[in-house]
Amino acid sequence: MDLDAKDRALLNRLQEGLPLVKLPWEKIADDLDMPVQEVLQRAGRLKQDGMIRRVGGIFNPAKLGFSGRLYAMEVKEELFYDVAAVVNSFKGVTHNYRRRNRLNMWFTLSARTEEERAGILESIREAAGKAKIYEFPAEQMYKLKVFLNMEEQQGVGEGDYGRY
Amino acid sequence: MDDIDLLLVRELQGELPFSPDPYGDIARRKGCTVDEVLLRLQRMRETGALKRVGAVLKHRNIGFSANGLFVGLLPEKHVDKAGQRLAGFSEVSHCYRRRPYPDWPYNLYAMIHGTSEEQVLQIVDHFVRNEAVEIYDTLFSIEELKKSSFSL
Repeated sequence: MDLDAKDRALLNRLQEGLPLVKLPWEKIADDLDMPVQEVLQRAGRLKQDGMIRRVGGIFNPAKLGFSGRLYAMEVKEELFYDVAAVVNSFKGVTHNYRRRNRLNMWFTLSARTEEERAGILESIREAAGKAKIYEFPAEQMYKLKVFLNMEEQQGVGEGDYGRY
Repeated sequence: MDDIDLLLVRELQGELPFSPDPYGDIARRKGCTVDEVLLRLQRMRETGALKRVGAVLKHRNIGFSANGLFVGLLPEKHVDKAGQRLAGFSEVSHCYRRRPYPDWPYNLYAMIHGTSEEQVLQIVDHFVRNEAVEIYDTLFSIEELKKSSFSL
């Protein structure tokens, strides 16, 4: 990873978001005091090199009629990747991580209705040999902030998770 | 939200063109004007449906290799205050109170991102030392099985 100060400033600026104006990259270029061609080139390179996952719209599923929740399961090692494939096959599953714990699979699922949610969870439970699925609805949100601070390497992160 | 809004949501779920006039590119593809695209996006941002148009980074590739899910059990009367305090760490991206289970008794959850597991654990130590945490654990992710953006 070879990032110079300008790359870092650009990554921070792009996480904050592009303005909704006719020439948004011009505004970024002005803010960073770089020519717009350089901004576009750097952004393209950072994307190509796998530093940027994507530049696009980040939506709030709840405002689009979906509700998202966090789930965890204890999946037997011999079933692990088969279960992961089933979990991942659902579009409403946006995140799935293997974690070092008895509960070794953690995923988020957004669904429009409880029927849809129940159907998906039943398929997952079947695939996992009827394992128990722990559902963790959020009872209170204290923070949801997306920012990986690239200019102080203490900083931090998140993905573009919805509200889970 | 009407059909044109939904078209724009679908369009922006993908990649914003890396061109000087990305919203104009979208407008031309959809057969409307750039002003209309911007107006609709601004409206969606006001309602909160669109959080922003921006970059999502790949944690691991940019040095944030450790990703720990902190889970802790706090007495009901302390959990809100503790949650707010935990939320104040810049390394914490998500912090929620969640429902506990008899065999999984934790009620406070936070995603902590750092350059190493040690760094994440230091934050956890610092937090639990000053709070009435009864039991806690930090679950590090060892494999990203899926990460995508929400899409319609």
